[in-house]
Amino acid sequence: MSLEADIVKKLSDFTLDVHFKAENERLGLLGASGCGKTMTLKCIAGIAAPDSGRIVINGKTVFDSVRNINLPPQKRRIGYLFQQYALFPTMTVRENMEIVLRHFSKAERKRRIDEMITKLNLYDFCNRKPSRLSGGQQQRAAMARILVTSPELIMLDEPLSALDSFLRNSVENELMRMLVSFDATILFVSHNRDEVFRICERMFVLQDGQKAAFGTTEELFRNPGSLAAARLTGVKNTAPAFRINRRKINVPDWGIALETAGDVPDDLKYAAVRAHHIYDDISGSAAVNCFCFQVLRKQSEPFKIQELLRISGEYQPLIRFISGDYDPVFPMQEIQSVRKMFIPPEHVMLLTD
Amino acid sequence: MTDWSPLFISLKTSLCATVIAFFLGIVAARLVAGMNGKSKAAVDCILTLPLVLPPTVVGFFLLLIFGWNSPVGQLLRKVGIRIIFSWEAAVIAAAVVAFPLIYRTIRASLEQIEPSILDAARTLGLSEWTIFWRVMLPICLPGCAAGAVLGFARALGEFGATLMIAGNIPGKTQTIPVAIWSAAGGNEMNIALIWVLIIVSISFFVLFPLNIFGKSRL
Repeated sequence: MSLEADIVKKLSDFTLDVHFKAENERLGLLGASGCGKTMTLKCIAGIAAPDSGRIVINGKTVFDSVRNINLPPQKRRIGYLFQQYALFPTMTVRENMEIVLRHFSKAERKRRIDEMITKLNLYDFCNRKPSRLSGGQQQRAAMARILVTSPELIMLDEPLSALDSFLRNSVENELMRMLVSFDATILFVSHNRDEVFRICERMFVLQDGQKAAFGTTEELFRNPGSLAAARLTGVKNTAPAFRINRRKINVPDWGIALETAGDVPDDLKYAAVRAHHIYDDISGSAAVNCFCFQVLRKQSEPFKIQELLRISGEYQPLIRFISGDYDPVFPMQEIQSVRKMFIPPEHVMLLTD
Repeated sequence: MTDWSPLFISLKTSLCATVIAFFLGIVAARLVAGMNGKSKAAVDCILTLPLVLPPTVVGFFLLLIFGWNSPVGQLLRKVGIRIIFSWEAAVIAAAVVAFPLIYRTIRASLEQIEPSILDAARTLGLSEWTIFWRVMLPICLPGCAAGAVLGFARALGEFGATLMIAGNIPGKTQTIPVAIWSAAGGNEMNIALIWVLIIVSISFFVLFPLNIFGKSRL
């Protein structure tokens, strides 16, 4: 199973211009809302048409602007899970599956549906209408309706964002279980970096319709490469940076020079540091990247403490997270103090774009 | 008062007109809901005109179309059908004025369907035909019912166009509204009053469930 997508489409605010290939894997499309993620899925599904480009699913060309091919969605064999699940509201869960299998014999239809009901554990509510299901049940029903058609590609558009936060974890586990058992290409669209990190093996980061980064999820979280990808993967501190030498950069906005673990590229544009990669130098033994920061503000959140740091008045502050159950040394009251902290060289991210 | 024929003529005419306008309304609603831009606005405008034009204008156009000397009229005459001043003419007049209400109500409810439901249906392989009859219409059932009821009530009240092309033939084309006009004109105010009360109560009891039903949908 594979997907090859080259899509160019003019939208009202920007031009969507994405090119990627996916094999038998879970590929995440990560981007802020309105960046073109959903439009990308719609083009692949055949609900919207690109202005130009080519889309190939399992070697079958479903769209090609040069050869004038544009198969209707009905012929593309794609399972598309919509954000609101889009179950047919007048039909029960079972009827929702029956209608998509209407070309099969009655016996075959029943066999497939019963099998799916067992597989996804829909017994309790297969004779209910969607309005009487919880968000998680609706999602399972919608997945069942997709899976009975045995699609060659599955696309999920923000499948968890319609759920209450306390439900999300269990539904995500459930979804992950379904996805792992399904042997095909899976496109997972989300604006939530944590979801993409947990669910996808590779990810494509989208910013205003353009590629901001594309690679394995772990690698992109460790080394985003571009400013947009850094921000979308949750990096809190970014600033323009300049190369000093092979292992050293200057970050004027922060008023510090940083040593790096890897070679500094010639076309360096920004430096980035994750908020939880700034450490207190409690023992005073840090050898490099050790600075005296003023603590401007200290804020307690449910499971972490956020500090705002800066070198001195004329520089921009950095954000630091400390996990909430561990802050034995410095009590909450202590602000405006100056403390020694360090940033390990391997956690200094170098961005070229 | 012995002649109840206007009541039965009215009910029969309105019912037939509603059925005809209902099916035409569904087809028109589906076509217009699928259109875009200026052509949609133009077509919608034309289909809505019978709602706002004076009934005499509708009657005039129907006379032009079905009259003795029109191409349609002559064609029908060749196969032995006479529309003008027949009961069928009353049905046509009522259907034409009921149509815009039915069409607009159904179109509005078709356009309220969550677009992703239709997109999902397409990606699941359902044909446009199946989507319309099995997915869209069931969702729009309350809208269709409302349209049919409004259309029936409007057809029941049709007067001007009916009088122009169906005339005032007691026992044949004389509907309740025409009977009221006829009785009032002949200074039989008692008869007119009885018919007025009858048509007010029929209309009320037709529209009343619509409101009850409309509320329970929320």
